[in-house]
Amino acid sequence: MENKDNDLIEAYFDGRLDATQQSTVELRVTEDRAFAVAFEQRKEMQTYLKNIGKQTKLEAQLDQIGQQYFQGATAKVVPLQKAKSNKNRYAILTAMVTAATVAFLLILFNPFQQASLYEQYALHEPLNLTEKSATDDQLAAKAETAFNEKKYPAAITALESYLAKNPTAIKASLFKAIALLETGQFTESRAILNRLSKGKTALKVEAQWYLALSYLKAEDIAATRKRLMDIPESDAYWYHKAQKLLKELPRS
Amino acid sequence: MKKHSDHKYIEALQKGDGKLIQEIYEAHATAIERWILNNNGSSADAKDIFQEGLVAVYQQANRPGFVLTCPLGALLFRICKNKWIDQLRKKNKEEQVRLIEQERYSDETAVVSTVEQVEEESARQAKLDDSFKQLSEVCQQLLKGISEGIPVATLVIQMGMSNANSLYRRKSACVDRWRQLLK
Repeated sequence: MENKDNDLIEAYFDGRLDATQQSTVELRVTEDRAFAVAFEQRKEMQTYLKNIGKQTKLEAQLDQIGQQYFQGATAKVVPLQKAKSNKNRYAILTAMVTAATVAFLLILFNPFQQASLYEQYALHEPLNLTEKSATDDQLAAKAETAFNEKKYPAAITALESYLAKNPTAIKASLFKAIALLETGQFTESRAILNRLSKGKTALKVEAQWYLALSYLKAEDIAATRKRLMDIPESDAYWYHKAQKLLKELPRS
Repeated sequence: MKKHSDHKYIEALQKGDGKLIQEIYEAHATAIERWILNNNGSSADAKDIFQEGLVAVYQQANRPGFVLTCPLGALLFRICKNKWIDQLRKKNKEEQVRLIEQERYSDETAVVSTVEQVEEESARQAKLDDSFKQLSEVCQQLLKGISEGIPVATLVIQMGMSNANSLYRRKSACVDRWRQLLK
C-alpha cells in the first residue's frame, strides 16, 4: 500500500471526494485486494469511533442499573462509632431494645430467609431449542420464553407440544422434567429423569443430578444422598457438584 | 435465520432504552449471579461479567445486518460463562476451569454460533480499543472530534492548527500510527 492510497481512503471517509472519485475508490475495493484490506480496516476504525461515545454512555447506564440487581456488589460495611458519654448510654440502650425486637420479629417472620438447599443448587441453564435446522421455531421459542421466564406450567404445555413433533428431543425432555419438578410434580418428573438417566445420551448424568435434586426438593435426604452417590466420577463437572452438595446435606 | 422475539432487547441496548434494559437484568441477572457465586466468584464479579456480556452483545449488534436468532438469555448465559472461565484462567485457577468446562454442551445450536460471532467481534473491538488508547491525546481528540461531526473549522481552532489541510495531514498521520499499532 502506498501512502497516497491511504490518503485517498482518508479523503473518502472524510467526505472530501466528489461522486466520480468516490466511485473510483469503491471500484478499487472490488479489484485490488491490498486496497480492500486497508479500506475495510479503516471502515472498522470509523465504526469504532462512531460507537465509542455511545458505548461509554451505555456502560454508565448498565453500571447504574446493575447496582439495583447485584445487591452484594455494592453492600458496604458502616462502622459503628464508640459511645463516649453517659448521654449516649440511653441511645445505646434504646438501640439495643430495638435491635432485640427486630431480631425477634425476624425469627418469627423472616423476609430475608436464606434460599433452601434445593434453591441454591437448582440453577437451571436457560433453555435453548432453536437449533440451526429447527423447523418448529415458533414452538421452540414459546417453550424457551416460558421456561426462561420461570413460567413453568406454560413451559410444560409448550414442551409437550414440541415433544409431540420431536419425540426424540432429549433436551426438551430434560427441561420438561425440570419444569415438572419446579411445579412439584415429582412422579411425572422422575419418570422422565429415570428414563434419561438410564439411557446413553449426552444428558444422562445431568438427568441423574436432577433426579437427586427431585428428592432434595421433596426433603428426602436419604434418597438424595443415594442418587448423588450414583453420579460417576468420570463426569468431573457433575461429580464435583454432587460431592459439594453431599457435604452440605443435613445428617439424616 | 428468523429474527428472535428477543431482538427488541438488542435494539434497546442500541437506543439505551432503560425500561427494556431493566427487563434484561430482571430476567437474567439472578441466574448468572448464582452461577458465578457457585463457581468461586462474588456478586461484584457477577455484576461486571453481566455488564461485559451485554456490551459484547451490543458491539456485535453494531455490525451491519446483525439479527438475533436465539434467546438472549441463553446467549448471555454462555457469553458470561465463557468470560468467567477466561477470568479464572487468568487467575491461574486451572482446576476450576477444567471442572466448569465439562459443562459446555457440544451441540451445534444457534446460540453457539452467535456466541462465536460475539466473541470474535469482542476481540476485534478490544484490539481497536487498546491500540486507540495508545495514540497520543491529540490524535484521540482529533479522531473522536471528526467522527462526532464537529466542523473542521471548529476543530482547527480547538486544536490550535493553522488550517484544514494541516488538520487532515495530522489526522492521516494519526490513522497511520493506529494502523501500525493494529498490526
